[in-house]
Amino acid sequence: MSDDNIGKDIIRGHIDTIVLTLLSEQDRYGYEVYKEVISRSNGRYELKEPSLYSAFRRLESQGHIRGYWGGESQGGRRKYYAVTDTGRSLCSKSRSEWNAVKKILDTLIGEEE
Amino acid sequence: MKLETLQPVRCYVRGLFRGVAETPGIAEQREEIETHIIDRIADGVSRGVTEEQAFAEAVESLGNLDELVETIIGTKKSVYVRKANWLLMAAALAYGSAYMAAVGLWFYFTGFGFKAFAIAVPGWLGYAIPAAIAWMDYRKNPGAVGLVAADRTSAVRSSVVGWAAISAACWIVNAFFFNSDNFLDPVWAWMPTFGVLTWPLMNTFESWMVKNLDSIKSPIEFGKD
Repeated sequence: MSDDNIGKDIIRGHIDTIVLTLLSEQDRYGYEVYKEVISRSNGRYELKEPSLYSAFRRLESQGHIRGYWGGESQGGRRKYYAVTDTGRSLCSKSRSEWNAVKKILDTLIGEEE
Repeated sequence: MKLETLQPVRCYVRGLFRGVAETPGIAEQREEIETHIIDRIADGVSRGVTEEQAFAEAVESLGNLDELVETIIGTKKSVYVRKANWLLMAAALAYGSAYMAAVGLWFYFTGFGFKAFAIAVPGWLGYAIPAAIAWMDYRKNPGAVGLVAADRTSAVRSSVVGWAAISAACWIVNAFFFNSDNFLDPVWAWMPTFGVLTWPLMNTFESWMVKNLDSIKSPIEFGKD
């Protein structure tokens, strides 16, 4: 895994959206989300555990996700998370916002490497 | 996974939450992280890393859990600090205006006449200037965000105690040393009592704002990675 974690500060503002996006595909448990972020970013971004679980707690307290205890693994019980209706609408709102922002930023500061 | 690995993980995770009051929320979070680390070690081992190495990686990645614990127990709140400060100073100004008006009227009607202005106006400026500065600060950067303690009970308590102590001292000094004919000259007892009352009132108002006023709450969370 790379240590430089490019654009960590920029990504940080979108952690909740990342988590919501992954959970709106299917219910997942913490470690699953953790692995998914690494593999989808080809190892270029690692969402560290404290930030991941803080996002869970935040989203849960705002009612955007709901946790439930699922099956046992070898280590212990796993807590799964499901997106609620408000979480789903927040997710699509944040994603379309991001797509708009991405286009704007690309016209302003994109290209030229 | 070998049983010998599970025990150190449990001990380690327990250590991460040392000093944090045990609540159902904390207990669940601990269990969740325990499972997370054990899964992570098992994954590492299946990739061919030793258990010790995988454990060490997990420990490094976890770092410290201050942010997480903070989110769970919620001792701090993220607010628009300058806006909150401006509202606080504006409320103080409202109280100060009423108070200094009363002081001015009192002096006016006890023989000071228009000299009462020379007393009331500087006193009022003591409320107005901080409010003006707070307003300018707010206009300069309305979106400034900061963390404030969510539980302000102790600040409120100490300001009430402080106010009571100062007021009592003024009344006692007044009663014993000035020995005026009318026993208690209002200037030396009433004025500080109501003036210093600004302090607990501000603390109470601030505590109310942080708890109930949605317009100062910021959605931005502070995080470290």
